[in-house]
Amino acid sequence: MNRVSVEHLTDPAFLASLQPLRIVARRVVRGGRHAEHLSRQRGSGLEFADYRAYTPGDDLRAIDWNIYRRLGRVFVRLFEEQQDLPLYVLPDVSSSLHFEPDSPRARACLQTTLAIASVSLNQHDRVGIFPFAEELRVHEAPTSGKNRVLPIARRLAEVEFKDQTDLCSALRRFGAMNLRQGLCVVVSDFFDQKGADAIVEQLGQLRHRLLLVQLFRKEDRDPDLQGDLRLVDSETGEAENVSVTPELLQRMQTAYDQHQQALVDFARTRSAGFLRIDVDQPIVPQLAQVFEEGALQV
Amino acid sequence: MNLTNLSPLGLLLGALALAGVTFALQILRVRHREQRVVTTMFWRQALQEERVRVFRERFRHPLAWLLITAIAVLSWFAYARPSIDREPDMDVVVLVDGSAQSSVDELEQDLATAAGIARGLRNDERRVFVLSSSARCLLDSGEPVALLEERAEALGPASTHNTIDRVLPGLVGTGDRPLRVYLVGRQDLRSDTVETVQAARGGEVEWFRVLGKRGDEPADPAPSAEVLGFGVDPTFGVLATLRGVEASSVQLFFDGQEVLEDPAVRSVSVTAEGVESLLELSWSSPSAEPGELELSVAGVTTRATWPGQTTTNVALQFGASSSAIRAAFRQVIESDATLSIVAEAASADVTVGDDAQADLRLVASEGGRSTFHFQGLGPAQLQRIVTRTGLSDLDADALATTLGRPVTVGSEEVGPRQVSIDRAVFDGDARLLESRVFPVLARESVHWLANRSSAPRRAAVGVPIDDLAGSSIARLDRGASDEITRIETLGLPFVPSASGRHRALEGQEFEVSLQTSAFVSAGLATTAEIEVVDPPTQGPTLGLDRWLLLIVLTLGVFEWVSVRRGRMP
Repeated sequence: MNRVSVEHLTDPAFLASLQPLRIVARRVVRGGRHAEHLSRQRGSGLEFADYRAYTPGDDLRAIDWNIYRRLGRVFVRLFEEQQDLPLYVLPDVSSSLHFEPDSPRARACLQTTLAIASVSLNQHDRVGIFPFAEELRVHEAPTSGKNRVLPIARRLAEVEFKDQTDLCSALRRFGAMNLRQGLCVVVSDFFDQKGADAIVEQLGQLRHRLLLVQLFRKEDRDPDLQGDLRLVDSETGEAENVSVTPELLQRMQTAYDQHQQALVDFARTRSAGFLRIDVDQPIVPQLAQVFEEGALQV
Repeated sequence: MNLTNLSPLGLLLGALALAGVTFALQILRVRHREQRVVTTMFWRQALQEERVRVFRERFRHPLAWLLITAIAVLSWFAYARPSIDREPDMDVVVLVDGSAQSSVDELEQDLATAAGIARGLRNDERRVFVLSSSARCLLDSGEPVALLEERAEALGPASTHNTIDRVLPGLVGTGDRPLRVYLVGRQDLRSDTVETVQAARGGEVEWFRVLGKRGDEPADPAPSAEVLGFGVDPTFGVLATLRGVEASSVQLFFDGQEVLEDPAVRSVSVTAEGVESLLELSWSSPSAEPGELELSVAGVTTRATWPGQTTTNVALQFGASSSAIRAAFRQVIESDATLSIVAEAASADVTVGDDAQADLRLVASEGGRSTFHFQGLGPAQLQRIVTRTGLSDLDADALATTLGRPVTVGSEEVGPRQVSIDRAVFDGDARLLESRVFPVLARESVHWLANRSSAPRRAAVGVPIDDLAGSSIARLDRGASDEITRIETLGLPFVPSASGRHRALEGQEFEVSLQTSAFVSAGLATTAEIEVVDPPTQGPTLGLDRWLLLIVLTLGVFEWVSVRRGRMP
């Protein structure tokens, strides 16, 4: 079966290592639930935001009587509303992540998904999981609750890796869901046959804040291949007969680098996060490097 | 470079095989190793870029190409069997006894011994022969030893005696190089043969006898009772030649009746150096009826078929003017034991005379008629009858000059057999009666008219029969009339290769015996002492072609290792 063992996702040490991590949103849009992220909405939070003149109907408890005593005018104190940041994780479950022995890419993909989801759930955020390959599926509707980590892990273990990557279609479908603005995390190798430009175009149309997590192995760019080879695509099954020469290898690396550069440029211009995770290395330390000082600013 | 051991077909097949091997290598080379990768889109982009950039495929893998080219060229070169041109140090002749003296197992052992000797010698300096009635070359100089093993596979002892003394001088020939002769087995060699060969080769001749596995067997201390030859020769009456046999232990039966007591059967016992006793058994007046002969020597029985002896009755019917001719014919006929003169033409099988009804008649000269005319004879047999009747030896020019007209021989296929001879050849200065041709002409003409062969003749294994050149000879089984072998002599004199009864196309039968005068004298002559040595143990030498093949093998291993380690595509 093209699945990842649930033990890889429910390892206590793995889950415990996620506790110090948190995601900090600069602002979240109004309309969410009460949570830990600052909202543009003024409300009953703890952080003082501003004063404004009293108008009938305002909560009398918000009147600042010291101001009234000094100035003789009635003002009410405004506080920052703390709301949740919806998290939408789009893990890539195409067959390109599950063709190698031990499937390190698939395991890393789901661990990364679970890690980010776990961090958000610990912050009382709502988390939705939308795995995709050729199509986008709603695996977990956006809900919150700290106790949902293990159920999500078990559900993720049921995900089957198959079909080709069609990230563009998946992003289009996700954008059409018209979900509340939040943080959209795409966990993928970003190897869509339509190319990096098409991916970037679809990403640019999303209204959410973006975090792009690219899974990679070193041999993706520096393969240890020599001689006459029949390279078979892990997703499409299409084969290319190549005679690997230094020149050809260099051209392949140039194409790979151009693909990467397109994603990096997009992330920079869009102020999106871009994280590369080596699937052959432990996941959490790599995530921790991105969560600078324990928090990821988005 | 030596390509002499390759036939054109072999060379072509070798070239095709080489082409096939290189083709297979090319196929293996372009067969891509399958490798699954996460995506091929970057490789595809790189390939598209490469295809756009270049007009033709670049020259790939120069090291691999050089290696394959080296392997192919070296293989081809090795296949050509190059050799360094230098004169061999000596000529070596290996002689294996393939006569009736060797059993099948012994011959097999001797051939293996000879192959071992050949392997230890340079290809261009040794030859291997198997000797029976003649010498058959099993391995010529320059040929690989494998050919010997292939040629010797179906070889068995021939039912002939060994003719080493007769053929050896011709085999070794003359030359300046030293000669070494290996006698494999126990075949004897006469002293005078040794002297003849040494004289021809300037004296630098080494003689060795190699017994091989036979050396493990105890040598015969003395020749045991042995039948060297047993055959039927009605003309000369010799029946058998025996060695190591006491006359008292010999019994001869004809159709079950012992005939050794017949005064016509006599035995001659001779003793010579090297031969304890040689007994020659003769029967001077055998039976006219066919039958079975059995020779029993010390309990061992040998059988032969006596074909019988029939007589042709001839009537001479000449006029008074032909008395001299009549007398000449009478003399010829009386000298042939199978011909008998009768007075009455009615009881004659053949009539000879100047009468028009005679089977062999003398006719007056006519314009356009042949001098010698054979009726009932096809044109295809004309040449044969000319040879058989001795007309081929006739001095036709002198006779034509005497007659004043051409001497011709003609034939006519239609009609009963009849021979017409121009009477003019007997008259005047022609004097055919005094010619040496006449007795043959008269006797053979009568036999031909009687549709019978001449008297059974004596023939011996290995002795050519010149007048059977171009004939088809059937070898008949002993004691049976079934033809088991037909031999075409293709214009060459027929050389019997085995003893037994034979029949020529004309119906003439003859018995081939193992015994010849030379054979008997061989038994009487001194046998040369040959030093017995062990088979040479020198291992096979590696020729230049073998070294080339070793290099090819090494290069092949190198390529394989390089491919496996990814150093070569």
